[in-house]
Amino acid sequence: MSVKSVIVHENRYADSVTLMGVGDSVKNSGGVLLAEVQMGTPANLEVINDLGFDVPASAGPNDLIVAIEAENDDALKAAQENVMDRLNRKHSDSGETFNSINEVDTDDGWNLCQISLPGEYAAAEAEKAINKGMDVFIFSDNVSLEEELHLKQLGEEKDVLVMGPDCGVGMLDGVALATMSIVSQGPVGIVGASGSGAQEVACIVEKAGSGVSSLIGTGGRDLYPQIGGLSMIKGMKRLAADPATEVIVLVSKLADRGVMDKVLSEGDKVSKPVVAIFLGSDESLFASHEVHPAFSLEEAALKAVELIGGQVADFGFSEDEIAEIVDCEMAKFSNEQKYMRGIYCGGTFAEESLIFLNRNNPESKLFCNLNTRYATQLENHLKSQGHALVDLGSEEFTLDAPHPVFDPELRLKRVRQEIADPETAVILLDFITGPGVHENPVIPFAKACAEADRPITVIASICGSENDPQNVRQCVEELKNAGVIVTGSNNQSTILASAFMRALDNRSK
Amino acid sequence: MEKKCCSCKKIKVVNIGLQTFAESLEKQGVKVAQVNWRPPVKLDKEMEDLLDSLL
Repeated sequence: MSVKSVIVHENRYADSVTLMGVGDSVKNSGGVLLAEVQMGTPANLEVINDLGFDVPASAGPNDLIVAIEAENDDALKAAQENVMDRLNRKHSDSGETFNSINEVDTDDGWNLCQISLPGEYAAAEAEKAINKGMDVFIFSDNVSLEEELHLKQLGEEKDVLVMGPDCGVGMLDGVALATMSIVSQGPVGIVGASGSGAQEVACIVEKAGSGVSSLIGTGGRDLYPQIGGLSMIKGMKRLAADPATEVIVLVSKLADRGVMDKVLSEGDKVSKPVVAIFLGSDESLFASHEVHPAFSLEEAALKAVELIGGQVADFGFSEDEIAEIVDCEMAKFSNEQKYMRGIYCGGTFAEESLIFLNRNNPESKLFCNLNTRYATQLENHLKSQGHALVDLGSEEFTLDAPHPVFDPELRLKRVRQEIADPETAVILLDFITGPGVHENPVIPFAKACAEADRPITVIASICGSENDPQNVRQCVEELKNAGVIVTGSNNQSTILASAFMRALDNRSK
Repeated sequence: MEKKCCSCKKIKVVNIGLQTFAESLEKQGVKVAQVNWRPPVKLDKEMEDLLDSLL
């Protein structure tokens, strides 16, 4: 007869990634049949109750819930102790600790506050840090636009950088923040309102033989009319004054026209060369500005390197090479294999691919889970139809599971689903490496591709640096050994995938 | 306090939230302090009213 227990630790917080690790460890320990270690949010409480645990009605979102079913009392007690040991150890192993931001003395050199709390609590902590004169990096999302504006206005007043909310990447002083890759240092400064986009520019700068002085993330809403690009302009001014920066790259998705114009006007005033990409924009945006335009992330990176005298070698496939690859692979497909499927984890990569797949093949029908002007929305985000691109980092997937850069399992399952679909001919993948993301984000995909029981063409690019802990060189080798075509950028992957879409559609006519 | 700079000063980071981010910074040789953050205690209405009247 098994034993069950629910312990509620009132007003005790642990982050979701830590809890995931603790929960997995306890589930795998001896005599444990079920274990859920979660904060008591309504969704989590429902899951725990559905598993047959009896959670006290008083438990709430500020409480830590430890629900365990074990084979006997001894195993239960050991598992409960294991949970608390791990949670307590986490808080004392890493050197200095504070009980509150109020205890921090900035005279001791603390100059950056990194915040990844649930959104409802993030703004209050950020405000305290800004008032202390610290730069802040806010990874948290679900911070209101009003709070964001208030923080950024306060940042102006205190002359500090406010990176975020919802800021995924940053690099200051050669140090990678949050999910950023550890790219080599160099003369290219980047300000990005798009996390994976800015990281891709940084990684291509490195691949082209140069390096990055700083990458200042702004959060995805910075160019909303209500915010007016406050952090992008502030970041650009920081880089303009930074002796280590020789050229500045601004990276954003397409934003409010007035704000983009304002940012470009500020760029015109900078004495250093400035390159800007507003993914999806046309040339007219840049007509009255001196800022150098770019239209793909790769172009932005290479233009920056060229502007400071760097030699950029051929970066990608020639048209003849693409034609040869497509002919060779198409000969292997059965008549049933008709479609390209992009299964993505990076939001900006998904958008870049959508833009160029659409632009390169205006007559092809493309589906996507996102509500976007570049594709028709999928009827069911869990099942692809036709040529499709699915962003597994979008909300409908991350509501119930960690983002795929932290836990690739759901995306891996989706890739296996696409491999099993008899209509799939080509699979397009993006990968992101870095110290803050999953330790093994690529190789399980290589294995899944190698196990395919019929010829499927897989095209992939890795946004990462050889300095990242995931050993990018080995990841590339594993992908190539599995027959995957590894390109130098998401743009190159998209160009190749576009050629396949064209060839597949022509064959189906 | 050291002046902030994009690339010329050492950063010292106070981390509030994901422990993995603090660990990632430590692996890069950065001085990091973790805040043992707890959610603010929710006061009941009676206590809030009492505090309001006192403050």
